[in-house]
Amino acid sequence: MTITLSTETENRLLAEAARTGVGVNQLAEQLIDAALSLTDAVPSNRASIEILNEWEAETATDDPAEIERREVEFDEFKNALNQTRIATDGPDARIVYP
Amino acid sequence: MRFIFIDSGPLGLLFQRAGIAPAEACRRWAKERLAEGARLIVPEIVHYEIRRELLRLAKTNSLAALDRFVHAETDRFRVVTSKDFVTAAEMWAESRRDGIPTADARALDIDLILCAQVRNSGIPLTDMVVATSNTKHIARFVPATDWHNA
Repeated sequence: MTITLSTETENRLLAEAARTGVGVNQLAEQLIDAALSLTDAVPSNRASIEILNEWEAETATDDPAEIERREVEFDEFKNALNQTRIATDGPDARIVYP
Repeated sequence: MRFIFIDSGPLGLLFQRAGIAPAEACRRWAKERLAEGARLIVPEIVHYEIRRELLRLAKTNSLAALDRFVHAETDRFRVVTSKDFVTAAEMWAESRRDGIPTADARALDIDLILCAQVRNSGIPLTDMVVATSNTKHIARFVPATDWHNA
């Protein structure tokens, strides 16, 4: 599929891609998905979907080193939650992330 | 109307940064359920567990986004009430009488407070489910399933 954009929209898309470090194609897809999610949603849930979309856009990255760093921090988060459960609820605790 | 109570597993995934595959899958799941009109509910005891860990790890941006999400809908955040503690105490005693405790006897037992919040929500059991990453223990007391299937 090819989509024709106005020069102004194309420039804004390129500028946002450069600012966030996300590829132009990926960014365009994210923005279209976000807009369509809002269209499809039940009105009272739109704010929640928008918050999730904004979080994804704010934290988007294509940098493998950054993603690797985030995965390490995510493992720390999971381990911390599990260890707290075991420390407070005992060895038979229902850990959060089995 | 379908009501989905979010347990600590999926709630802890929702505001991990982009690039973490399980977190991205969980956000897709949440958006799909929201788009279908489901009500996503965050029990206070679950919010407490995730909030304290994000604070300890100084994840201020994640915490701010989580709090925005939790308070985005008026019916999302369910406070723990005195009635919930009464119900949790009954379930605690019942599980120990049956010889199947959910946690060490000294522990406050987050699981049972969660189950009490769900049971006391006033929502018919047929219209609700707890979306979790570990159904151990809690599925004995309330409808619960892996969040991917909720």
